[in-house]
Amino acid sequence: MKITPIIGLEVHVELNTKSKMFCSCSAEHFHVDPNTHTCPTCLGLPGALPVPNKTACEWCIKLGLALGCTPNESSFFERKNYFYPDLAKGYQLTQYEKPFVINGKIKIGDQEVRINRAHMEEDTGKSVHIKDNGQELTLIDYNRCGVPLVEIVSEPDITSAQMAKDYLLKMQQIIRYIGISDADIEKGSMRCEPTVNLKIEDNDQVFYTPLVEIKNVASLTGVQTAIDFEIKRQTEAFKQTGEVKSKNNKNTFGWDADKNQTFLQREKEGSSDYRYFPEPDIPHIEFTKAEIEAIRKSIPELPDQKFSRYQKDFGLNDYDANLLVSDINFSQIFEKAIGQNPTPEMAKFTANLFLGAIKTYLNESQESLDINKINPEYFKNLFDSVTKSEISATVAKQVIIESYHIGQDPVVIAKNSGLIQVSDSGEIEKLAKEVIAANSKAVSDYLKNPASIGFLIGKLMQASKGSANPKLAKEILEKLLN
Amino acid sequence: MSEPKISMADLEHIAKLARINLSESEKTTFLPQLESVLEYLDVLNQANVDNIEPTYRVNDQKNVLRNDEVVESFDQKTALSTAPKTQDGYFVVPGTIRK
Ligand SMILES: [Zn+2]
Repeated sequence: MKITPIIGLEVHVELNTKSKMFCSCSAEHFHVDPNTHTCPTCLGLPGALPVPNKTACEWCIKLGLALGCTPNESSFFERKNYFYPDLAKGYQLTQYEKPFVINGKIKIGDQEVRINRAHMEEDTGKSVHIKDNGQELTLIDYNRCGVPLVEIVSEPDITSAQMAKDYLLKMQQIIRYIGISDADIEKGSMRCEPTVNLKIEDNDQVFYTPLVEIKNVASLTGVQTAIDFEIKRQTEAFKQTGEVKSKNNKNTFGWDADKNQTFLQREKEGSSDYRYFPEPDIPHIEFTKAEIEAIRKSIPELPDQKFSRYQKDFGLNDYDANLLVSDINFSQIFEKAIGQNPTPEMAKFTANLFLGAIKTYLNESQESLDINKINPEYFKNLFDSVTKSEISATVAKQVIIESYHIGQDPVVIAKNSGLIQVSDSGEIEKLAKEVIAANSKAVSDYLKNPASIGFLIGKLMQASKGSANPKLAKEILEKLLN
Repeated sequence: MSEPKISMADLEHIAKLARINLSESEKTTFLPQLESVLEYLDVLNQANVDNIEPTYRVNDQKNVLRNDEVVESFDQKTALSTAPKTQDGYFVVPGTIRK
């Protein structure tokens, strides 16, 4: 029996526009007093007229273009009707027949996931469920209601939980690169609903298990665990019941992050139950070719392009290039540090500092780098000193952090702290003689096994407080001992 | 008399989508009423619309958009003023947690 998971992802991204999608209320809703950013439009009061936010529409198209989508010549909003208190109007304004953009793709390693569409819609209010004297009540805050939301729908081209995670990370990177949202899954500004089923091949027969849409996944690990759980559950269910996909058996499952399992949530309303129809109060939206081209031009260098450039221009390997481009802020700071037209050697040296000492330091201190405190001249000086063997690679790692903190040239710091590498053979010879005298056991070890010289070099480096040129130290020790 | 336009099952389905509970007597009252509304509208089905693009609106307006600017909202008291029940700045509705 051969089992291939078929996974599609719906991703919702909250745009960080100033105002809401169809009214001029502030779109801020995180840590804001409930129901303080509302108006007749987002409360669904009679007679209110929705007017789309132009920036939000442009950003939806911008994201679409970044994903290789084609814009529709003419788009319009539709009402998706369902009765639920987090949406006071009784319908959500969204796009159905004519989304802003269609048919894109995302590259994940050497695989590709096709994007079906990206469309513009509005977020719903937030619900808080409480119990009051044994009675179940729901409290509603409409501050989030009407906040611009872009939904990106993939084709079911994803074949594993890991690939789903990679897809989301890539989507998050692209969104952050173009700066339209912070795309934070934990904070809810990026949400994901996987739809999962299985293709089961058994003795020349092919079966497809019923589709399951998973809701309430609130973290990246959650997405992975939920998909893996669902693959196992469907495999077992198929073995027991043999039930296959039909028109009417798509189900919605919720994800329970505490129990690490999915559970049947409700029978999903079929799309005809939403009774979509064009919103009569919002005229069609048509961007001209020139406007689309202007949006296209405003897209910055994207992660894939940056990745190729780092490899081509700086000779960075896959792993390093990937780490540098994965975070837009980090890569911007790196690019400032290497300065204009750096040599590949200089870029590589700086990349090593960023991915080594600087990253380690940031992880330990939980700090984040301030781009304004980065001085490309300092990095250049440090590179030159290391190239000339004035400063050892170890010292470079040390002084770069201090340099960042106190805003001083790292080479000056090294000089002031006596960390300039000693390449004076007389000085080193003196230290070497002391080390040989003090470590007779290690010396006799060395005479039996020359590979054990590392110990003596270590002692010498220690005695020089790390300032001896290690290559020279080795040469001198060998000369004295042979 | 042509085929009925709406069945009892349709009516119950629509009521369910609208989260409305209908009594048996309401159902038997509403069914013929809806039937007659649909029959009345059925005249539209007689029009020949082959090769005609759908008309979404009767004027030719397009691109009525607004700039991304914030205007002052209702204060909380005003926002909640028409709600039958409120608590701590929230609207209160019957529990909606899905089981
Ligand atoms: Zn509003």
